[in-house]
Amino acid sequence: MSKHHNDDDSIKKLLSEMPQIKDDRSFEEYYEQISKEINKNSIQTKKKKGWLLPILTSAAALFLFVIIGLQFINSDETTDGVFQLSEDNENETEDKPTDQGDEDMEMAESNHIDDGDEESSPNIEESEVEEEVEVEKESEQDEANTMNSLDTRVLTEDQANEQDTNYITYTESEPESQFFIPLTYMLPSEEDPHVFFNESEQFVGQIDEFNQQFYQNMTFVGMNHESEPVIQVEEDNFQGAATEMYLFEALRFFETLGYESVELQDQEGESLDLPHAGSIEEYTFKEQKALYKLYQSNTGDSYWGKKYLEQNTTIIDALNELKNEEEFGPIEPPIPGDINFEIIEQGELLEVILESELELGNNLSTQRMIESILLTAKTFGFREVQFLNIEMDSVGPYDLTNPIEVPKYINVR
Amino acid sequence: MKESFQELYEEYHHDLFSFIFYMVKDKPTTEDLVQEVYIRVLKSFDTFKGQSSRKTWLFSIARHVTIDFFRKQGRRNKQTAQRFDFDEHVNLLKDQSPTPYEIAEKSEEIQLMYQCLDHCTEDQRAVIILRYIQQMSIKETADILSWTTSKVKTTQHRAILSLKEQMLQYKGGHTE
Repeated sequence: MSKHHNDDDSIKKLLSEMPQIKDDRSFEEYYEQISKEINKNSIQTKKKKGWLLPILTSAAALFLFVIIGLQFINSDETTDGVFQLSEDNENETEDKPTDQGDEDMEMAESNHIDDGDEESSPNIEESEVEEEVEVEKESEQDEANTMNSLDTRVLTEDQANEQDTNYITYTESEPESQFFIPLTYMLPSEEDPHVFFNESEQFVGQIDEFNQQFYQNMTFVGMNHESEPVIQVEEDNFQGAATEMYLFEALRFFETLGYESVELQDQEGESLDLPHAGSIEEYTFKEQKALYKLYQSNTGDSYWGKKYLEQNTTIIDALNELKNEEEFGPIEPPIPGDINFEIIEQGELLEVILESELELGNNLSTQRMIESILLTAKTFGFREVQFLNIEMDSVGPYDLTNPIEVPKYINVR
Repeated sequence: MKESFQELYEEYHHDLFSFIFYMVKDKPTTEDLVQEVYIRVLKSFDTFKGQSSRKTWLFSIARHVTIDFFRKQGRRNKQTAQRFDFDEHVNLLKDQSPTPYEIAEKSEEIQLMYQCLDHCTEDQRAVIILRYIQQMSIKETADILSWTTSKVKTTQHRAILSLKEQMLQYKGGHTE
């Protein structure tokens, strides 16, 4: 694989050595030509729409008159503001366009600056009140952010895109192999994430108690002509239902890289033949219904663990299951048992209406309840969740006043 | 206004010209398209809210102007080339605009890479130019193309693979 990587680097190096192409035309030539073009367009527009001008002027005057009239009915303070606005407008109308390209362009720039001036001259008292509110909001947000930075282990695609970073997700499982544990790691943006499928030992195995056998006996060998990753599998090592499940779960490495499917082949380059899945050339990633609960590791860290559900499970059943203890292992239910909810399914939006005697706080427990619902809802095909009847505007990083996007990356480390 | 235009010109003109040139590979066409970009920029100067950087805004307009050009020329189908055929490719190049001297004076590998760019899709070529020739970040590239950064990364990966394949075939001197 390192050869592939080196090849990539040599291509990138060659590209970076491609020269800038010099322009033979000067600034003045461009400016003259552009002025002519803008001027020509301006004249054509005036000719075509000459009849519009008197109508628009009359309408604008009438509108201004009504606005001013309404403001007189209100307080004196606001009237002053409107007079200021009307004066600004008068000044603008005095800047009549001419047929000169220069002046047309100056008008465009002048409009730009005027817009900025209007925005930057709010009423002073309003401004002070707004500032106080802002300070309070920022203070609340700081607390929430602190909680977020310490404990949030999930990222939406949008949040991930804000950083110039690649993410790779490996799967391990807890010792009982009932819950899969996806673990996401950040890579520098210049690193090709594909090659790390074959270099899992750099990341996998950092948590001793986890089952780490997923990435053995399979190799990423490149891309096929349909730009799908091609994975070569030593099929003799996948002769049981559980090991086949590990195989397909491991392949989700490529799903988080944005692929919808991967090509599978045996060591001779032929289609893969597995005892349970049968003959298989291509594996397409499908969302399978699952729930997420918290696994408490020996070191005290928590990880989101995924347990697959029967395909006939309903979303409300899955969410209620999040309140139940597991029979084995250090798995925590992320939703308190005395919280009930109703749901409304609206396409890819899930509305969760909480019914609780308890007062929920802006704390880690509530954040985890929300995250478990988001993660579980995602596996049922929902893209957003709106929480209703919850007496807070936000919890941790989540704005509860709007639908929340489901996460893409889980257990980010 | 002239001053503002001049400022924009001095800061970004060379990058803008190169971006469009590598997309269309013809100097006179590039000059026309650059001029069209500036006209659109100046006409929409007052609607620019500063939500993106001026650079991102300018290149985003350049991208749209280039797409419009390809649509008008009906070249889109040619760009999504089928399999690479080197002999055919050489013949095709002979009919195209001359290689600019900036490229001609470079190494044979650079000249070959310049030719291989023809066999990337328009999207791949845009990403390659912005990321590696213009040295822009993934975020800047995504903003210019109005894509997610994931899409930029995927397209970039596929473009590199495509270029690698073209270069290997050329060096091997055979067609597939």
